[in-house]
Amino acid sequence: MGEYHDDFTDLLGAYALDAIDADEAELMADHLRTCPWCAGEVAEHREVASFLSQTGADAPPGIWDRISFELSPAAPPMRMALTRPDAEQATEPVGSTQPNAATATPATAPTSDRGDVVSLDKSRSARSAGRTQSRSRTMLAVLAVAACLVVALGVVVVNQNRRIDDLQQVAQQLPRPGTGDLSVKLTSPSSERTARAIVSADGQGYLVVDDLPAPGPGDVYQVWGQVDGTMLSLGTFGDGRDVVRFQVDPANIDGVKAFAITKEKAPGVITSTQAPVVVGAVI
Amino acid sequence: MTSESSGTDPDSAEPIDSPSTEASSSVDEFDEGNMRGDLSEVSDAGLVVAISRYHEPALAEAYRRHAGAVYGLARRLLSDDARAEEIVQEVFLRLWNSPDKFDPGRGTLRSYLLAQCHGRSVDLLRSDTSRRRREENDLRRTAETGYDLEREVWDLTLADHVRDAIARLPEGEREAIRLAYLGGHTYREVATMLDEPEGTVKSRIRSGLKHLRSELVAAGVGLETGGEG
Repeated sequence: MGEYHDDFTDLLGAYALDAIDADEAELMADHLRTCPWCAGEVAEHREVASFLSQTGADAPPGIWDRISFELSPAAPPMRMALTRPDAEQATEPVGSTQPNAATATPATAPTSDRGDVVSLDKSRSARSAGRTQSRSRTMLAVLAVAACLVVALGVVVVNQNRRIDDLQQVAQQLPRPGTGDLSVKLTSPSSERTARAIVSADGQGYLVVDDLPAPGPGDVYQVWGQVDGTMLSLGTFGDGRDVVRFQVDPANIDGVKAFAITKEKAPGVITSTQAPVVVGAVI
Repeated sequence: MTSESSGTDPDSAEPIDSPSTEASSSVDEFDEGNMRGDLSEVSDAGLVVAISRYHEPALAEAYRRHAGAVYGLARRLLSDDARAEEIVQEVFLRLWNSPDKFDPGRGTLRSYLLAQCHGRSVDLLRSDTSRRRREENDLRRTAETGYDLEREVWDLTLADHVRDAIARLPEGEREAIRLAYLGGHTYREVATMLDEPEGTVKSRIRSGLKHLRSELVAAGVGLETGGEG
């Protein structure tokens, strides 16, 4: 990375502490959407900064009552059934994905609403298209084989900050998947490791890892989703964490074909060259 | 339109669940029997999952866990009880309305809420009206005590290991971080206050945070984000 990137890295600490001007903050926010390394460092700085805050004291009484009073109107009944697009709508371009780019990109910062697909860094895909196409074809081939072996299961979302041994206990705490949900079981080649993923009708997705060992110092697990032939990075996790939350465009749920997890050097990669640790496909 | 009072009282020792509220009743596929009385065992990430399903008791539990820290930080920055309460309200309503903004892969819920609080508080701080009020408070505080009593009181509320970790930072790094984070100043303002080049201040803030992270890890603090920056 050159001087251009150094201009941003120098400001990462100040940005994390909101100690930069508004115009610099805007430029930095744009940069962070396309640079997982800087975004990861900002997250680390903010976590450290959180320890500079007081602990133990309660907020003054009355605030909760005001919050409760202003909560949004009652939500509609939970939509656990997939909303299938019309046949004509299904031919529309896939959100911001590029089916022919054959390039995997890292997940960016959360988008402004709950329906946007993870965006692609098109400039990076243009520079590395040739190299990544070969690797993506390899991963696609692996996923195609896995598609013959996967059985759809229900999903649980486990505690992300603590490991909970009894997954059924946790499953009772969360919405039960209904018919029409997109759900996938991921397995390792030896079937000794498993993970489960579910995507609900509104595009909210969760990947739950049952028993992956810690990735090791300097490594992370990276989650990939195959959407209409393109490998998208859906996030990274590690250090014993076993839940990854992601979002896909509800209009593109039918294009979601498979999921995989690889082990990468922190904070993740744009394109993986690793064999999946676990992989699973929608049937 | 607003929801009826949920009957959930986060200020009490145990959350009071009332499944008869509109928000709660709407999540009819939720297993209320398993959630009732068990929220204290659910992780922060699990609470956010529930919040995304419009489960008000989950928001109440998140509030019970973290509102104190959020209020304390806002109060420290703004020196204004009413403004600090508004910030708390805003932060938790934002969590309710946009739970997808929280990325568990990027840190804890507490660090997310405090980052939201800090950002919003700094925005207010840098408005003309708030700045004048703060300057007046600073002058009055110094005149009355000859030192920053509020800073001393703040330090006393930190956990011992955090206070020790901060004390081990080089003074330049410690002061830069304190003025930036707890003072709400930009790095340019900090550079002026410390009579240092802007590049030096930027570097000290960044290196100070890295050193602080190392100190906290060495003290056995579990930090969620992985890898070294």
